[in-house]
Amino acid sequence: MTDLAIHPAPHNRKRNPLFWRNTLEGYLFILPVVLGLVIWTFGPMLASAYYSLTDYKIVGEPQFIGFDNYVELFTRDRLFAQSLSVTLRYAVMYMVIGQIVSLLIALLLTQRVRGLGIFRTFFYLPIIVPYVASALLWRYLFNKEYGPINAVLQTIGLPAINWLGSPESALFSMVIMSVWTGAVTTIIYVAGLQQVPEELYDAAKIDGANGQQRFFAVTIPMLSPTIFFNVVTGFIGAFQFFVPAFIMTEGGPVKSTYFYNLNLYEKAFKWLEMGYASAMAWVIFVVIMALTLLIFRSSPLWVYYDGETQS
Amino acid sequence: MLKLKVLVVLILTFALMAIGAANAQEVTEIRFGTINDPAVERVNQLLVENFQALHPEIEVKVEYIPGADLVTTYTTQAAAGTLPDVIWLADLFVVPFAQGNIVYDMQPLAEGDTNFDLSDIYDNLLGLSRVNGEGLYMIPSSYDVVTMYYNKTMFETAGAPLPTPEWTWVDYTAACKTILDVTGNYCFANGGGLPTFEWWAWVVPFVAGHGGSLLAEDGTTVTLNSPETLAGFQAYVDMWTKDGIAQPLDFDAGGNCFVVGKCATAFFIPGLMSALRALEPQPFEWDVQVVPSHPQGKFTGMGTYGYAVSANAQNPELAWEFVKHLASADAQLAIASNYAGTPLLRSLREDPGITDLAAPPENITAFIENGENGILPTAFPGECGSLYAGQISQEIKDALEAAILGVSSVEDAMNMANENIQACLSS
Repeated sequence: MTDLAIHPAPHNRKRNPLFWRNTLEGYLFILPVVLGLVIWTFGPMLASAYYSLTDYKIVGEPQFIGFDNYVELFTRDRLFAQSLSVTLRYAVMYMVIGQIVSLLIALLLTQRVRGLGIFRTFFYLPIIVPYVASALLWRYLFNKEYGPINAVLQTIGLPAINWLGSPESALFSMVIMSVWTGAVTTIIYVAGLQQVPEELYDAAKIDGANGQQRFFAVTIPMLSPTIFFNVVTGFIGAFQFFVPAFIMTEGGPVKSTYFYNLNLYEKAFKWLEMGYASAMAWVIFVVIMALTLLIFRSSPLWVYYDGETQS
Repeated sequence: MLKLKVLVVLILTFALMAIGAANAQEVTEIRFGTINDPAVERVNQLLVENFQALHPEIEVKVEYIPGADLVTTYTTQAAAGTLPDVIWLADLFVVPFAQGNIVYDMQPLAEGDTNFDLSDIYDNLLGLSRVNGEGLYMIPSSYDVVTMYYNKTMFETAGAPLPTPEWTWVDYTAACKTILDVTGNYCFANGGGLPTFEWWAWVVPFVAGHGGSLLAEDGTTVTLNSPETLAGFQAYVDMWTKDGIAQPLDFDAGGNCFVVGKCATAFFIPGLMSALRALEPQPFEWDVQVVPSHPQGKFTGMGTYGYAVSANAQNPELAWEFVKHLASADAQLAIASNYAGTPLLRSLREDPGITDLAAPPENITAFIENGENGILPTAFPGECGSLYAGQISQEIKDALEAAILGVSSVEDAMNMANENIQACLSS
């Protein structure tokens, strides 16, 4: 009887005033988020899709030009290909180096050592430093003349490196800085490592597996969903890289750090080519979507979920 | 019937009140948009004080805009029709703002004003306020011609001769090499608070000084790779690559290389005087001199800020009253007395208010004498940008950077830039 009162039969639900009240309340609760998404995300997305087909400079009405912006991008704009290439190279370097370093640090942070909390706090600190402050800090650290990094190198007899001033090293310097700010990745790996069942290591030990074998046969497979998550979010983040390049190098030297988003920003806010910049935004959206789908499609080959049956 | 009469009276009363309120709104406030910069603040105050003395009944509402957001703020305000009545701007914004209908053409206002003498302002400077020589979209703040500042102490320490008006760039280079050898300091400061290497006001005078130009006389053919133009670019790039006297692009001096005493010269507008004089105690002796000569004579660039009546001004005549004071003798002498600029009026050329200003700089009249060497940036047709922004500036910057860093020869880099700009202009 009580159960019926709480969960009335489906055909009676709509007659129940409580049902309508609950429904209304539910919609009211999600309304701010839905409205926010529609007004501030989907609305601008649709608008930018339209503007990408126009010649629009903010002042004056947008002039419809069909796919001319896209044709210009793919056929005549040398900076489009260059900035996309810089971003892709950065993304690959950052993903490989960033994931390895974050995982290694996470392994250290899950060891049973005294003062672990202090170490974890220390490694998380970069994430609470504002991005602009980090960029300024690293510009100082990388300074060729008086930067501490070169000072250390010279103290140990190594030559000073022109970190940000040379086309050969500037992009790699950005990768180093990004790895330093990748504390979230490390924290996620720490959480992932703590979820690996201890009994699997015990069983591996009984089977005679050494540390290296346990790492590759137990840790990595059990951690693969976490790696998958970090790779997907890391790739998306890498394609949105902007602030350090804007502050530290302004895309130089010789366009070696001219990231796609920096190019987009300049087209939009320096050149006021809003239609063209909208087209660029849609292109990078499609690129990110395609790469993310590719990673998802590849996941059955290398991601193992505990409890699933391998085919 | 009585009800109808009452209704009519009420409607008329409300209508009159509404009209009165609208009229009152027109004359009670003028909006003034400017940047939040200490170097500009004194000039802002001068304009506001003068206007309020003339129109005490009108309130001036100052709206500060961060310099980095200036373009986006103005363009979005223009799109919404909410621009302030008077706006601060700089020479690089004149063409895009005029074409984007952000600024009002003040030429008819200036011509119709019997209390304003436009012909007293130096012609070449006014060129920065016009679009292809037409209209008047900015009243400049100062006769801002790029002139040579030099660190007298560093020249003397190195045993290098001090700059004279007769100097050529060969003399300049020889003195700079001496300074580099003796002190290890560079000469040609750039970046770090000064404009970066691609600033047209440095580059284009080198091109003109070697008989070149960026655009042929037909106004459509790009000539970045003509022999004369290439010679100009090469001479400019040589300061880094051949002679090593220019501050390297990756040399961080910890600020303006000249101000911090690590570069012997700076080629800049008069406004740098106030920053240098503010150094307490003065870290070195300094002075100014006209620019050295190129093979074809003396050429230098210009760059200034100013004020304009906006396209959305509620009352352009009233806004003009505000703006025009900038070009008055009072305002110009006040700006000069603060070492924030040199007068843009011919009538003040030999005014004691300028010539008798306390040193440094000793040779302050060099700014005015150098004025006649000031040239305008090349105006390109179409929508490919200008020497300030857009594809044209980007292509030239990239080519110069590649040449300065030795990634490419001047000829190869400029050939590519020439091809890309020409393709854009022809499309």
